[in-house]
This record gives sequence, structure tokens and C-alpha cells, in this order.
Amino acid sequence: MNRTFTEDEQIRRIWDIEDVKTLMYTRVFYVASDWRDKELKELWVSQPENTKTASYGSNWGYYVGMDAIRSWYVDAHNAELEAQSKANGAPINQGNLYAHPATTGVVELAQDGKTAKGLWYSIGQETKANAEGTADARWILGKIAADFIREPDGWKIWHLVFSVDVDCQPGVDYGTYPVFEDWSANSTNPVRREFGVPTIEMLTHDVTFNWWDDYPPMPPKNYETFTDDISYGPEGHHYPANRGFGAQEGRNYK
Amino acid sequence: MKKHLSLSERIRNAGVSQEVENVKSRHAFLHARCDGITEMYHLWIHSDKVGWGHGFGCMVGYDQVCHGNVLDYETMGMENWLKLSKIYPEVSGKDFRPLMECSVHTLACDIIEVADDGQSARATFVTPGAINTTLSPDQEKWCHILWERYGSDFVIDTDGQLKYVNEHVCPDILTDLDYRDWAAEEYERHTDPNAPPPPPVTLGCPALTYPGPWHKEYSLFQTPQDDIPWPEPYRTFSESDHYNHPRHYGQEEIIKE
Repeated sequence: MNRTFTEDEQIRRIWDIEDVKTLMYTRVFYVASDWRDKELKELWVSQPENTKTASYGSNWGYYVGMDAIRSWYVDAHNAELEAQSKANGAPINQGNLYAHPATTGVVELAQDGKTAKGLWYSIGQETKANAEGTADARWILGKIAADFIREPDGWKIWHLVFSVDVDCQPGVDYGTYPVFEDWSANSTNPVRREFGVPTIEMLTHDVTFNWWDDYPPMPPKNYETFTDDISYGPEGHHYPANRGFGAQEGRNYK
Repeated sequence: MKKHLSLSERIRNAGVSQEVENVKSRHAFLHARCDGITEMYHLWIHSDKVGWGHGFGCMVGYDQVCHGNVLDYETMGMENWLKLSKIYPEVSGKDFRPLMECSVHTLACDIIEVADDGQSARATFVTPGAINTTLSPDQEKWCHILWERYGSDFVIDTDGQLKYVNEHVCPDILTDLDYRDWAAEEYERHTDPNAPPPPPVTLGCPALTYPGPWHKEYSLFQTPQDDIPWPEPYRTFSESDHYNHPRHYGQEEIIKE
């Protein structure tokens, strides 16, 4: 049931939605500049009651809490960059490029105005230089979903999910990639490897079945107030009621 | 700036403009799951005036659009599932629709015009989209890029929700993601009698009221097309141009059905 809003409230709500969109698009530019630490400090939650429950999810689980997110998203990444720099004999990030533009946005502001939910799609790429003087480039396509919460200094990212659909090398026929990939922590897939070992390790989205698992749940719907059940954090993850077989299962029927 | 509108009217129309973005994007995400019925049921006006056009022509009326956008689409999904089931037993029990493909028509460059009366809106978009699947009857993954342009009409329904009236899809290029060259493929088709036919930019041709072509994909012999000009400011839906329909009609004709 929608509330009835005064004109002042309507203006505030329209402005809030634009602020949320700007926040997500600002993150796109921070990612492009590889400003990960700055992103967490400026764009993510900072209030203690929110930092504990903040999460960064992907196909293989969730990092939960800002400390865990920072440990992976900033510290582990920086360690990789330093190793790369040393191996390449080049400054940090030389020859690297990051782009995850956010398009196709749906933003739903809670009726109570305290939180918002958003969903976007990204046709992105990452390019990383290597020691031979060449670079490895990858297309990376996927959904970006986020919960936003209003803090004293404005809207902040609370839960974020980057649900990868496609990752492949430019110029290589996608049909030559194996149908089934190893998504364990031992995977050789560079996108999977980069996600490391999250706080909650689970296969949230199996690309084998396209969007059959509806992860993250989409598109966000009109809602009164935030509840865990609709969260883009781990507490809101729901497997389909009937999970059926996983990839490469169900073959002993003869 | 529409200075002839009151502040209240401008606030109302700003909200409608944001809702246009949401409705159009919801359509894109539902389409990517091949969930046509949820889209049709919740996002479209249930009227015999709605239209859904493509390069092949235009479906008119809720029943015909549902037939093409839901039943025909689901039939293809079911046929695909039957083929998959003989190769991949793990598809058993799964919704066959999203297994067909993940057709993500990402949206950019939107130009949105809300009517002065706030009861309708018109918009154009561009999609630099992608379509992919993992399981296929050929036992190979595939990923295509698909560039299209969209012209969309919306009206406020009797329940107060903004809904689709018309969608006009103009496909321009389709090819393998960053692997093939659509111009070279087109040249090959004209010079090599054994060259394969162009890939279909849409899955079949449904029953139509207005047969096409309403837009043609890239050709060496074609000049740029302008089938869906961006919307201009307008007062009411009744007096505006409509995407798809060769004739005008009033908003009241649509929503009272």
C-alpha cells in the first residue's frame, strides 16, 4: 500500500532517488580509477550498526562487515598490485584498466524513505598488464544490485552484489570456453580467483543455468520498509524452492 | 524547462519520468529471464490498442502481443529445453524459460518526455546489449552483442501505475561478442554464394497486424534509418504521435477497456 506524500515529501523522494543513482554512478568512476579504499570510506556505510552488517557479494558468497570487505577488496587487491608491479618492473597499476559501467537502472525508495534498493546491468571489462609487456583483458558482464541506507551524511552503499554472467577474453570465441567451469576456490578462472575466500562461501549464482536462480532477486519491488528477507546481503539470499540438480549432476540414470 | 506548468505539475512529472526509467528497466530484466507473462501482466495496459513493433512489423492488441511475446517465446523456450534435456539431465524440473537465453538489452541514452497533463510519457533508448547462454543444444556457450533502438509510449492506468502502451524495437547489429565483424559478414553474404545467412535478430516472426519491415538491420546497401525519432514535448497523449501505430487515438480509448 503506497503512502500519500505531501509535495515537499515528493520532492524529497525524487531527490533521494537521484542521489542514489548518483552514488552508484560515482562508484563506477571510483572503480575506473581503482580508488577502492576511497570508495569504502566515502561511499559505503560508516555508522557502526551498519558496518557490521555491510556485505559485498558475488556468485561465490559474501564478505560480511566492513573489516572483511576492506581486507579483501582493498588489502588483498593492493597486495596483488604490489606483486604485479614488482614482477612487471612498473609503477602500481601501469597497464591496468577497470570499467564496470552501470546501465538499465531500477531504483526503489522505501515508503518510509530510510533505505533504497537498486539494480543495474554492467557490460564491463578489466585489463591487467603482465611481465611480458602484454596485458590480459576480459569482458565481464553481470548484474549490480545494492541496498542503500540513509546515514547522517547522506545515502550510502550497505549491501552490494556483483553477479557475474559472462567473463571471457576479447577476440576469443566464447563458444570455445568450457561449458562447465570449476567455481571452487581452486578455480583457474581469474574472476573467481580474485573473489578469494569470502566470509560466507556459497554458490549463490550458477551461470550454468542463466538467470534460472533469479539471483540477485530482481527487479526490486515497491516496499514499505527494509527487512532482512529482501536484503541483497546474505540474509536475503534464497535458493529456488526446488534446487534440482546442479551442474553435471543427475547422470546416473542408465 | 516547462515554465507554463505549476510547481506541483513539475514535481508530479519528475516522478513520472523516474518511473519511466524503472518500468523500462523492469521490462529489460524480466525479458532477460524470458519472463514475458510477468512483464505483460504487470507492466502493460490490458487493451486492444497496445502495440509491440519490431523489424518484422507490429503486433497490435494485448492478446496478439501476448501471443508473440509470451506464447511464441515460451514455445521456443520449451523446444530448446526439450533438446537440452537429452544432453543435460540437470535441467529437469527447472523453469525452461530462463534456460533458453539471457537476453539483456541494457538501456542507455534515454530521452524521456512526460505529457504536460502528467498522464502519459514517451521515451527513446539505445541498447548496447548482450545475449548469452551456457547450455545450448550445440553444447557450446555463446554470447552475442545486439544493438537496438527503442521507442516507448506509456500511460497512467486506472490503478495509478505507469504502464506500457507501445514498444517499437529497431535492431541494428547482431553478432558474436567481439569475435565476428558484422560488416565483413554482410560483405561475405553478398560475394560468397556459400556464405551462411545472417543470424536472426529476433526469435521468429509472430502473428502481426502490420507486417514489416518496420526497421532493417545493418546492410551495405542501406542508409541510416530514423524510425523512432526522440519524443518532443507534448500536452496530452491524445494529441501526440505514438510509436508503432499509424493512427492516433486517445488515452481514454486505451485505459477504459
